[in-house]
Amino acid sequence: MSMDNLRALGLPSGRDEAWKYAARTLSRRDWWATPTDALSLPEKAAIDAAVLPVEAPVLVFAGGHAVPRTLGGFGALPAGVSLRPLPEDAVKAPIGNSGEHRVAAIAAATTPGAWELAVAANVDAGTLQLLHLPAQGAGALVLRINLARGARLQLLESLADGESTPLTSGASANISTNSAANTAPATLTRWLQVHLADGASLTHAIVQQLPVDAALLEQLDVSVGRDATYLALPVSLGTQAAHTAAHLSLEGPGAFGHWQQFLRVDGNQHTDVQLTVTHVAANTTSTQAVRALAGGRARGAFSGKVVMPPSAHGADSAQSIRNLLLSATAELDTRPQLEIHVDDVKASHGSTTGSLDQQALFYLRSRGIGEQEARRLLMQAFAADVIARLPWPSLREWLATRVLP
Amino acid sequence: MTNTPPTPLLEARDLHVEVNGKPILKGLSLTVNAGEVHAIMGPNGSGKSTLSHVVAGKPGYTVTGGSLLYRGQDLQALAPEERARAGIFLAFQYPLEIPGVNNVYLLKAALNAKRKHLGQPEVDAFEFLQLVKAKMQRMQMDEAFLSRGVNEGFSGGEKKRNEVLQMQILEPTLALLDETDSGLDIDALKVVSAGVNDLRSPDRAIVMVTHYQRLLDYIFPDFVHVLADGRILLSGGKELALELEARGYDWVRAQDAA
Repeated sequence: MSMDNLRALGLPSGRDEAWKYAARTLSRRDWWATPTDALSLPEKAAIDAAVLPVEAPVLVFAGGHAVPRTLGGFGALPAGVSLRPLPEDAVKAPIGNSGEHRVAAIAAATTPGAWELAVAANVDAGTLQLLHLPAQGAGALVLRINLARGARLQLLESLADGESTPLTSGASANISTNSAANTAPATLTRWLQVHLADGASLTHAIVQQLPVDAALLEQLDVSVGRDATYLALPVSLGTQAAHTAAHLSLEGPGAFGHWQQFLRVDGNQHTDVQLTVTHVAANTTSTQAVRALAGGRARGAFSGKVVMPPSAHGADSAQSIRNLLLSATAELDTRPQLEIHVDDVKASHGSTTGSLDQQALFYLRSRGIGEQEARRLLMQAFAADVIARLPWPSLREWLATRVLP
Repeated sequence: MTNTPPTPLLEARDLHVEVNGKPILKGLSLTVNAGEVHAIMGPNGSGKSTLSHVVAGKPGYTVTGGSLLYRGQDLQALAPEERARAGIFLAFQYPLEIPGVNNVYLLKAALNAKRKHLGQPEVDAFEFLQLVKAKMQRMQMDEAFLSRGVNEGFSGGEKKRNEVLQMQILEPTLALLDETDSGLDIDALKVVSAGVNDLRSPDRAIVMVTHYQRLLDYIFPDFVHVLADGRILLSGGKELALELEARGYDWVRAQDAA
């Protein structure tokens, strides 16, 4: 689809099923800026500030541009891991204009060029950090992540605008630290296509700590091969508005797909996540665990759809969603959906929404813990359900207090 | 030397308490002095648990009449955490499971909150762990406890041991035991009772709320009270417990009505 057509279409309205719970404010942003506009890369300090406390080689993307090592100053990639630009014709926008794939269409039209991050067969690449920062005129990131047969990678992404203080939500925003003095609030568009060959394993953590007036459009398309494992660990803290569309396709027999997310919204933040897991092959397993915490007048939405076509014999899917509301004006919408076209499968889902457990609060206070501290402990415990699954102790510790409103 | 009696640790006078608008305690009077062990017995629904909850400050428990004093101070003015720091401890009948909050973290935070209140420095981390381990041994608790969430996955008996462990660490001035014997087998009952007996001291009081006489075979009370219909109908020494065991609670009610 041409740029002009896309721009004319705008973002899908709430009538589009995939955008029903999306923030309407998203459509007020300019998602169509082309990367030919004046480009300004983030400063070194901003990059340094976005690095998470985990020892690992770091890759830096500003919008759709890979920031050269000479500017970012980070170490070399481990053996067996490569990052390379893809030829222009490699970027294929999805056909049609469905809302489900609109982010990919926008990303394809506004990227300065796609990249491929590849791990060679049977290589255990350990941990790699990938920073993704907004930058004026840098366009959208289109990134393919290919793990060859038996390859393993722990990818830790940090979506941040290095110099601001995005984690104190509700506070008046203080952003735009790009060297260009100007300043519309940051926007970030990203489309990640992940392909795991047979027996490959990717742990994919995404710590989204963008400034509270930033906006994010994100699409993840993941295909998982035979006996391969994809584990998504999104920790979503920042932005004024964010929309994530994720499609996990379990294509090889015995494939695993896990989505375990912590989501916090506060103030007037609005985030929605649309996840579809398709059990294409037999004996595939998926889990979804979501812990969402909302305060202020914030809104959060999680839609988790599990599709089991006739080919999904022996598939197993479990979903657990827990929502914690910290104020009467916050809203969390949860939509578990099952589409099952085969008999011999298992699918369970459970979803709860509530406020802090008053009995637990009293128990802690009766031990001398002050009310505020007790509330903080209970919120931290709630988040820990998902945070505990991050494989880096230093990151878990770093996040422990930062996940709180 | 004057002969002024010391201020009681706990003094309830004609106490009326409502829970969610429903009157539960209807004129309860009780005086507990330092060094004493009291047993509050009574049929189900008599208000035994309400008494321990209102002393600990559970939200939703409203004093509608009479007075409730701790060391001469009106308890109503104090938040639950302030009561705890001042030395009140409630061993819960049904201790909460709080996954994600570590047992040891809670113990340490609780002890430090109390120490801060008393103007003492925070406890040394190493010494604290040694103390916890020693007390755990005393309570015959598994080392796995150290890394687990508060009461997470504990059996009923383990939860009760944990309550007494917390009590041993926090060394309260007024310990309230709410049906601490319920759900315990005989071995666990012995361990838990020994843990409570460790705490008997001239400057501490223990108030046990219990339905059965069984606990009193292991923790000998100085006073036994019968609580029924929101009031204390009869008080006596530990022989009263045996009489209750033999004659049931209806006998007390009948006597009170007469």
